[in-house]
Amino acid sequence: MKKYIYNILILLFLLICQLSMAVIFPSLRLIPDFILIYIVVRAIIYGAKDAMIYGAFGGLFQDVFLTSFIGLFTPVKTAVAFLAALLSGRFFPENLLIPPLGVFMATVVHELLYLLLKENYLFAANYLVLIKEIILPLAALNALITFFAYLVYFLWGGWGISGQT
Amino acid sequence: MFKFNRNTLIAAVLVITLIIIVSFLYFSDLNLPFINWLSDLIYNTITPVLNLIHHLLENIKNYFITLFSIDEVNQEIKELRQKNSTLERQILFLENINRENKRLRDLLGFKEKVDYQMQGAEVIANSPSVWEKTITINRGSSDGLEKRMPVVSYHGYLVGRIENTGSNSAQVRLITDQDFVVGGIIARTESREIGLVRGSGRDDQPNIMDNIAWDADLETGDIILSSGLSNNFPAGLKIGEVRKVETDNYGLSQKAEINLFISDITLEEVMVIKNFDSEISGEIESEQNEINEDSETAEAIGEDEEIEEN
Repeated sequence: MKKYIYNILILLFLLICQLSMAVIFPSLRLIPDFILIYIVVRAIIYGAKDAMIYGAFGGLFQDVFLTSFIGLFTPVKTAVAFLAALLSGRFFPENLLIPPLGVFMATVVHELLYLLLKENYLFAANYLVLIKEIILPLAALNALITFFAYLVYFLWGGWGISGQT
Repeated sequence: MFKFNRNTLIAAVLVITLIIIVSFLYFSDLNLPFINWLSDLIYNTITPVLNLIHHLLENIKNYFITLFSIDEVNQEIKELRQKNSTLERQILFLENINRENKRLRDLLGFKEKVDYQMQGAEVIANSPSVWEKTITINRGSSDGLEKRMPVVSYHGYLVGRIENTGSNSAQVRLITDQDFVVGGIIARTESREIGLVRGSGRDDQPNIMDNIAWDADLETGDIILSSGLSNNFPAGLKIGEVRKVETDNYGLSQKAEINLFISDITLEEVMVIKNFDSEISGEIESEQNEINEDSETAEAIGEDEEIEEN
């Protein structure tokens, strides 16, 4: 129980960072999705069950700030967490490129899933332009942040070889 | 490549079940009290923290600004004091004009224009998604804010409308959001064409005004105001400027790209219009149109007389 509360508090902190980012830096065009990064990295390290729970919570928190309690982020983040968990246990922790790569792919899938479920974007959006101008730069930004965050996490020794803290 | 063991399959089934349940709740628009309570609880717990962070950052920023530009601040205070005395004189002058205006309105039987009751608010958070253009402000239902109230900037530009209210905060859907539609009208004496201004969903892209009549008189540089026809927004709020006009629906209508005024400013503080009365606003708009038409007719008669004289 303590573990869940601790992780939910981390998710809330990341949500606050995400919401405050554009207010502190108004000229930013893309805001990194810290919750997605956290969920995907957790999915890669700890597997599907753990990541899906936090994916659902992270999605719920984001949806609360987009008018409805249960919106599109809840299922989309849970599904992306499940997909990211397929990478779990398939690489060595010394390989610092896998988590950023996983986050890059997860961001692309996450944004495309969201667009496909969003009614007013589904048929009206120019997907090629959106992929080129928003999704890929956002995925690259998320991957870059993941690289440095994972590097710090790895050097700090937060992850043993067994994958347990 | 990937071996799906029993646990993974159970997880997959759980994901699919969750997606189905959530999609059902989302698309059927069910209003469950427990869910609303939980949503309000999370929202009202997080927003005070956001407010606190915002104030803390503002204080730190202001402290350093004051520290590093004390001479400029002193100079500005001097200038503002001078400006203040000028403005006080102007207020006295305007009060006279206001009295005269009121007297003339009474004489002509025009309805008095009601000032909107405004509530100032600070932006404390932005949207958590790149696809949704929303902001969170630090005023909520305890300050009398309600859903669908129009939000404007301090310059009078239309910013958006309130989408959801918490006790001490509210979410505002911006005019740039893809879900946002507002009736627009051209602010030119010779052209009062109407259309629908739709959000582009992007901060760096212009909004689109469509459903404009195929023969409408529309030019680059025309100012677009809110038409007030939908009763959701008061008439006359500044929206943007026409950037480009092109034909739409195979020539059956026209559409225009609109450069929004709010794109040129940083949204830090906004104002919520609390007591907007669509009927009064509509009547004032029609009065203004009548005045415009009268003046146009008078001008046309004048021109005809001149031609006849020649």
